[in-house]
Amino acid sequence: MDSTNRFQCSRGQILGSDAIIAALLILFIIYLTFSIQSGMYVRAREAQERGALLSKTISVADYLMKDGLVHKERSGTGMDMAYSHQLEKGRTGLLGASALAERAGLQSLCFSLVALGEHAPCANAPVCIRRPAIIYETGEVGYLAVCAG
Amino acid sequence: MPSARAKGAILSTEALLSLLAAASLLMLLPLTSNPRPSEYSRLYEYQALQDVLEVMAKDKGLREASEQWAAGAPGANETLQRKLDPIMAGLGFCLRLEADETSLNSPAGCENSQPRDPVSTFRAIQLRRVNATLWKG
Repeated sequence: MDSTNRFQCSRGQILGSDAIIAALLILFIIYLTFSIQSGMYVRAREAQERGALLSKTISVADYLMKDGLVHKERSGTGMDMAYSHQLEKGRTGLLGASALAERAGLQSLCFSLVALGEHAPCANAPVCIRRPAIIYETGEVGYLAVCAG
Repeated sequence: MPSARAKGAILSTEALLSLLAAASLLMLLPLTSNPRPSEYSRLYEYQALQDVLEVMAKDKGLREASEQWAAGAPGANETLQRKLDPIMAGLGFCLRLEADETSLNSPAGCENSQPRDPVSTFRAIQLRRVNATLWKG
């Protein structure tokens, strides 16, 4: 049988069998391309949202490490001296998490100073970061855990 | 006119077009499977590395252990490892410290893991250059 004849329609047929198969394959490739592209778009959007959340969480953690929770002492010249990476557990209650979340544009925020081996109180939040530091009151190494949603 | 029977042609025009379409589809697949870590993840990794080194310098026990380790004192490797392991295990990162002729991986499970997209820096401990590398464990 001559294969070139399969593109020709038999009587009463609009498309030949090869043309139908080719059309189906083309439709399948178009469908595949669109589904891959839409999947990529969804993934890119999720990554962007997660990146934005992570950047805000990092900013909050950085503020707490450098200013919010850091141990400060008044020097002889009357200036405040900040001791980096030495954080005061007692100051966690003074800083309002909800006010901080509002300023950072976060829906939810919680932070705490935890000792090694302890679990952060809201570790099931979408983004949680931990930064090692020395807990001033105990002198032990621990973490500043910041979780945001 | 495209024809597989054309003299000297190895592939017909249709077959070449099909191959190009298949190749372009295959090229799309890696884009969908391996997303690169965001810049913010890298920033967090750099911060975690700096934090660990800063805590090592400020905590008395860790500072003494790292100074002895950098000086190559006997048994210092185990002491520093014992102190660093709980910190690194809680962080979820692997840390490698390298001095002149000695190196240390923390936590212990990271000894066999190959660093993927690591971040690195160095510090001077006891007048010795210590290279520190951190990666996701």
